[in-house]
Amino acid sequence: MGERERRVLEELARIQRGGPPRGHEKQRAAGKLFVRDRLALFFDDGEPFTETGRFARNWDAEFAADGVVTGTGTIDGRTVFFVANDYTVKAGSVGRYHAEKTLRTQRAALRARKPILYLVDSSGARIDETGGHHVDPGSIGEFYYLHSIMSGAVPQIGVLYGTCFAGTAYTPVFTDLLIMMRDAAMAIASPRMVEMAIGQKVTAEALGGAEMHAKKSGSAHFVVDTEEEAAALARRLLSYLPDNSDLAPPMRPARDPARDPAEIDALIPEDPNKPYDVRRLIEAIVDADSFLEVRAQYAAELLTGFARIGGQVVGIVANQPAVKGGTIFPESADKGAEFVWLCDAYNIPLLYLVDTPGFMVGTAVEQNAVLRRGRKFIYATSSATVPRVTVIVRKAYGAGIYAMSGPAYHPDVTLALPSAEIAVMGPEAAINAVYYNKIQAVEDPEARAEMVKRLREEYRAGYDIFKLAGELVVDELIPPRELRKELVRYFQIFREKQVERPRRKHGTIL
Amino acid sequence: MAEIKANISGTVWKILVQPGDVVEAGQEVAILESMKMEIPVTSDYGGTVVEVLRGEGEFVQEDETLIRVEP
Repeated sequence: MGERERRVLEELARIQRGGPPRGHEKQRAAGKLFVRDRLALFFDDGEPFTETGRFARNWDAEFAADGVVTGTGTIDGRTVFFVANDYTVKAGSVGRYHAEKTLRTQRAALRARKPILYLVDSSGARIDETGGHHVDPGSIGEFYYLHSIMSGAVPQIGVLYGTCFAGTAYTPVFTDLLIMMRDAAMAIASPRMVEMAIGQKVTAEALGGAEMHAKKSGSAHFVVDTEEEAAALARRLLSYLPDNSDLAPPMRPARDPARDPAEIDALIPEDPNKPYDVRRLIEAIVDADSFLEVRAQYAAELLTGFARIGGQVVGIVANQPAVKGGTIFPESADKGAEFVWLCDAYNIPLLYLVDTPGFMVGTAVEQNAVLRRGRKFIYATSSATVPRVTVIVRKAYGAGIYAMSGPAYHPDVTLALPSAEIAVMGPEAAINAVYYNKIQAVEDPEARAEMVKRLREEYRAGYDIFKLAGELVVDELIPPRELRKELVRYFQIFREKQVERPRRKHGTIL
Repeated sequence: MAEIKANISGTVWKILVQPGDVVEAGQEVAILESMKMEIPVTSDYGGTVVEVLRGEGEFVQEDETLIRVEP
């Protein structure tokens, strides 16, 4: 080997060792993997990842690759770009060339129209280097511009490993799907900064820990305990997503559901006021082991998740009667809207399983913008051009069914199970609203109770599902055991669906 | 002292425990009625019921304490 080539190889070997020993010690002490070992978990066996920009800041021995590993790897045979901070180099802080490498990788992923992974393990901007230049084009400030421009063009998946405060914490939240390690944290300002600014004393965990973001803010889609789990989950997420917005998600061979569809009818209680777990119903519909709930801990009264039906990827939006009766809250409206939007961006057909008493009522939700946020859910559903199949499982009361892709929202088909009830509101509330004065006028309590009972029965007969099926309010009333078969059929029929929309820049609802 | 709170705004339909009862984590301790649905309230803690603060038929806000438990 010649001297010139030897020099390159020696230099590369040095760079690949990452930061100085004390940086490695710190990483080990925190129970975290060195970035190159971490990356190896993500990519197909025997397919080493390739890098670009390794020589960044090579004149400084302590700044190997300027603290970020960028390049491409192969997941299930597909090319995926990645940006992975190296915490052993200056705590993964973002310096000038670190930023430049990140931006070049983002632009490359967009040009190549391939997904991108962000493995975030960074203390934030390298303050001594930035001056006021963090606002320049080509600086860290441009990360979030590119995240925005890329959004919906190519999938962006994030894993957050450490604590991540201030501007840098926007990368995790700009990803389409964010996995947080259980001991990771992110916040707009660190506990130290919070104390300085407003005098509040708070731990990183309470301020922006994974549990908080999974349950309260809804910013973490998944929480995992090990780096192996994080990598396996990221790989699995990609299996539901196409490379870009022009392609369909990958097909897999169909599998029978884990639960016999003949059990569906018995899963749904006769009494419309009784809760049950909609996940049991999903088990009887989707291909075995294909369901992955997304944002499971947040606003659990609305379930969202990916699955396969007959081998084809679908996004499921389901009211969850086991939690708050399946009522739609402002938080669940946001969750639904964002999931529908994500699926539509990446050509993932949608299955809506409707069983909701409607949007929540009362002062608390009004102040929390139930109307304005509910509107987002309705807007996302209305705008989604992917195939949409709506199943009225049980209750479809009030405006809830609008958000849940009811017949007026042009789903490709609306199916009803015999347990379906479609009404403006439940019989108790409806009778009270319409006949309040008349009921109050009856003095004898027994006669009054009799009258209420009769009126409720009359009202209930008005939305009998056989009657509504006869009036074509739904396209088809099906035996529950046929549901899985019908879904396979409809998702196949509408795979090539085309929708025309009026010319405009974009809607005004966000 | 651990507090079991209402998980939704609504009317207390049934209180299933009384002071002195021993409850397990995950046990149903009350049922609220909200949006015409039965909403079970479960205890996050195991322990002895010390106090029941709200009675059947009363309106409660989400996050209001219903029952106190000594773990």
